[in-house]
Amino acid sequence: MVSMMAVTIVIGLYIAFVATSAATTYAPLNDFDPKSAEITLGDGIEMSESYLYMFLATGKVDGISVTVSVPIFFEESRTFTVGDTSGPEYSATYLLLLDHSGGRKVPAVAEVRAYL
Amino acid sequence: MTAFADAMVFLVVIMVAISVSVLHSPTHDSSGIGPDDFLDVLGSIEVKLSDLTDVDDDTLVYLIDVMALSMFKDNGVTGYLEDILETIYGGDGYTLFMEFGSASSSIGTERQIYLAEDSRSYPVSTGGALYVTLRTL
Repeated sequence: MVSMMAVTIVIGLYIAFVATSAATTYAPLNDFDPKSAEITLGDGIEMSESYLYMFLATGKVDGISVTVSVPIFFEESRTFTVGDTSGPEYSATYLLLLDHSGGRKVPAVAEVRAYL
Repeated sequence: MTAFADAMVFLVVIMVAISVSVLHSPTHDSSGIGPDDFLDVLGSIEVKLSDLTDVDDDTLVYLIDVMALSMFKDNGVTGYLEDILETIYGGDGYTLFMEFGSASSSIGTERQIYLAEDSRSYPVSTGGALYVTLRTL
């Protein structure tokens, strides 16, 4: 009876620990704001990498890459990468509405990968 | 007592295995774009009429207007929407249903079960409203 109680308590504590650790570990992009990355469209897809360096400086991730796709208006997507991209990764996708030439407002898909 | 020790050893081994697999999982994806996010953006997209139709007119129009037009005259808006939605949800991960007056059409893969769904009604500049439903896996 005592053994069973002990095992149950240990399992309960462990599950709580794993759940907390997983939630903390896998939310490195919670504070990432794709609008602050200042993605712009001109002759090509451009982005200010300074925000990526600032995000890297928070120490939450070792590296980060942003791949921006603008369907139809740009055949090729463009990827911006800073830091070390060899570790385990976590990704999130964002939909943005960007100004384009001639007054257009077109959707862009930004896939952000954080490397831990 | 021996049974208790065996149980504890077993638990430790299982915990180590789970910890390694969870904390060092090579990838973890989270697509944060729900149907509501897409429909929020859809109503604000503006393109030139010549971008998606064979009309030689560079007037800026809302994509919603071109979608309504596509119900009666085939144009490039279906391919454009497919490109966007496939980039976000993958080729089989969505169904977009459009209804304008008595006309309707859909793109994507029809399924019985979806994980998320949202609908919006957008005013069309020529009158009436375009009703759009997006279902995603």
